[in-house]
Amino acid sequence: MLDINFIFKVAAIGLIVAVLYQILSRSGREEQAMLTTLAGLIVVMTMIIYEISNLFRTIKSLFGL
Amino acid sequence: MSIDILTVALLGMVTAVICVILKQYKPEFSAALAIGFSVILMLYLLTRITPIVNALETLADQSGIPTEFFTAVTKALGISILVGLACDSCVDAGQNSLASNIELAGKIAIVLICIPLIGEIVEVVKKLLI
Repeated sequence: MLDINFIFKVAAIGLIVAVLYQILSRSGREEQAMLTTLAGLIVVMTMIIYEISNLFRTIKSLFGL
Repeated sequence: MSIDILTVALLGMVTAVICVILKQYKPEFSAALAIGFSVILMLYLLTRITPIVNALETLADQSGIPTEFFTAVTKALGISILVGLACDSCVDAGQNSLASNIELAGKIAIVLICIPLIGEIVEVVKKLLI
């Protein structure tokens, strides 16, 4: 099935991190802002890598690569 | 079994808008979202490709074509889908040289799969000529 929730999860994490970055950097906490961005990016990358491995496994089994 | 084309189209447009918004603040998340959408959509489409491949397989079986010919075609199809996805993701991320390298790798992989078939053609031609 088309996993719509995944798309919205990634989009929501991106938007929340963008807002947090703005707030934290406006209040002068550049370090924490940078770490927030890094944490969000790692979370998103982990989710995407899981899905990519899923995709590769499916293609491997379907096309007999 | 049909493709839920309305959902796909709508979701694509929504994702594009979110990507444009995210690009102003966090360009790295925009790329991640685009790749995530492509991967999810491709996973969904592969479930729809499965019956097509199975139907073609039975057709090839019935027509008496040797199975290795048909597996070569399916393998080439899989490589093309995979390489297309990777290539477009790289172009979107602004890495054109990476994209063309991946494309070259895909072409070489397909040619490697086809080499035994080329030998087969040469055999047939030999039989016809001699």
